[in-house]
Amino acid sequence: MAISFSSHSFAQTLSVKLADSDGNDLADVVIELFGPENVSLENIETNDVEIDQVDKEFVPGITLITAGSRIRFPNSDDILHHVYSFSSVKTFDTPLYGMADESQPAVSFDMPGVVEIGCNIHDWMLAYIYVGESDKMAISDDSGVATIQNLQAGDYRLKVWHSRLSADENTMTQSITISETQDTEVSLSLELIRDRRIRRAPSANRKRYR
Amino acid sequence: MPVELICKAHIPKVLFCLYTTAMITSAPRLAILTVAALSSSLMSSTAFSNTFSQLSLSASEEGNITRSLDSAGELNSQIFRVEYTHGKLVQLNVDNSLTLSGLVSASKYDDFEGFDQLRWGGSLSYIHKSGFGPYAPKLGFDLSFSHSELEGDARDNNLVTASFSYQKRISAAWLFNGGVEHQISRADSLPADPNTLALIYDDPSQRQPGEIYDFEATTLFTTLEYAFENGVLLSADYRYTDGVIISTTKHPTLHLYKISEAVYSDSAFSEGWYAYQIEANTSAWSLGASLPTGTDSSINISYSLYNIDGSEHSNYENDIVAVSFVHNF
Repeated sequence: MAISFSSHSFAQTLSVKLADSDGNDLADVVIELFGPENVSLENIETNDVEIDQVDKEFVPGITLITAGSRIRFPNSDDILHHVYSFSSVKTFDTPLYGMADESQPAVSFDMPGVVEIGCNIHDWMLAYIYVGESDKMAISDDSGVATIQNLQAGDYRLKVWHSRLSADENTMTQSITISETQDTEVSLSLELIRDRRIRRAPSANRKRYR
Repeated sequence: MPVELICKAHIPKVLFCLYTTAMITSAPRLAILTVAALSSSLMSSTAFSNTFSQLSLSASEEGNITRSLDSAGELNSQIFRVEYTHGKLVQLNVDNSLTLSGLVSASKYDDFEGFDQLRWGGSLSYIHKSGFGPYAPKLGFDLSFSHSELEGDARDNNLVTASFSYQKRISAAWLFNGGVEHQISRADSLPADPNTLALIYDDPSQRQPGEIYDFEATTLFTTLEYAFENGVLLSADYRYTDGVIISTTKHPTLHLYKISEAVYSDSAFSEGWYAYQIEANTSAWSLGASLPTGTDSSINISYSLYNIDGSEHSNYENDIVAVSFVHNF
């Protein structure tokens, strides 16, 4: 997924190849570019999207939106879910609701940053919403490649975020130059902290439904 | 003993005064009616409820199935068990949920067919979550009933269990659970046992009842779990029970008979064995490891050690090693 709302007709492309420290392709990494001509937040197009709940998991696990966008949280399970966030970027919770309940209003995300959402009924459910402040963003695919097109040549600041990136606020930045004559390719190796999520599988101790 | 005295005698039991008062006369029947009535109303509320099933296959080795006092009488056995649970969770609102489930279980004892048993029952669990998120504490109340059917009648029993629990996730890795549990077991009335009467030379003044599974027990329990990044879960569990022990001996004595609460020929063994019940406090320690084999299944290994301090300095030990596979459908 990539978002680019430049009104100019530039043709350069940035491809960032992302891998972990063992060389494995890394999906779900967000890249965001700043400069040389930044569009102010109020002039960036918003995009309304959905994060579904399927088999007691959020789908997708990472969603990329621009500030001011809205998200709906439909429920495709035949049980109740209760979506919430404690994140300072956006604190909210939905009422308890079930499948085909269309009455839930979309939630607006006005501040840039990362929002971690969960389900209050199913503790292992976890997803991230990356609210960008630039008009140039992308998420890496399963092959670990994130691509942003229609870039003007020049010097940029590249911001990289992953939910397990071993850095302050799971974010790293670096300077990058987009060539006038050819597409730019960058390879980055990210050091990740280990994934520690609340376990979903049953155990002999906890036979009750989870 | 009057109900009021039971409630005053043991502080933990005060928590169960109301429950005990209701249950004391016809505990299993009342529990069945309670679970049945609630299940009827729950089953009708199909909206936003989640039906679930769980299959558990286990194999274990128990070191002292006789609960024998001395090593000469200790007999060990391999036990194979299949257990199926089916239930429904109803999310009442944001903070509260009810789970109703029924189970059937079959156990096969290697070499001791008299212990082979079928068990069936049901349970109702109420969970209150105090706040948002995975770290909000949960308060639980469980009421369950089960019936165990073995060869012969001496070990058949109806068991009602009520428990209060407190659960708090400390981090994504650590989980604490603790609480108190009260059990009431009732056995069918048994005919007079000529073998046990012979032990006391048929002196009616010393006669003990034969219903070895008539008892009450209160347990304090605590569990600490640690989950690794790869999902492997380690658990440590401690349970202290103020209750009874049901033991078996081939060499009954008049002293043993006198300190027993009930004695009967043990139908689980061959002729000449006697099952008896005495008051006892039990400390049970368990260590376990659970290896997830998917989001809905796991393989579990555990070791449990029981130290049982019975009346008149009669001390028992038992240990159980178990491996099980649990799958949620």
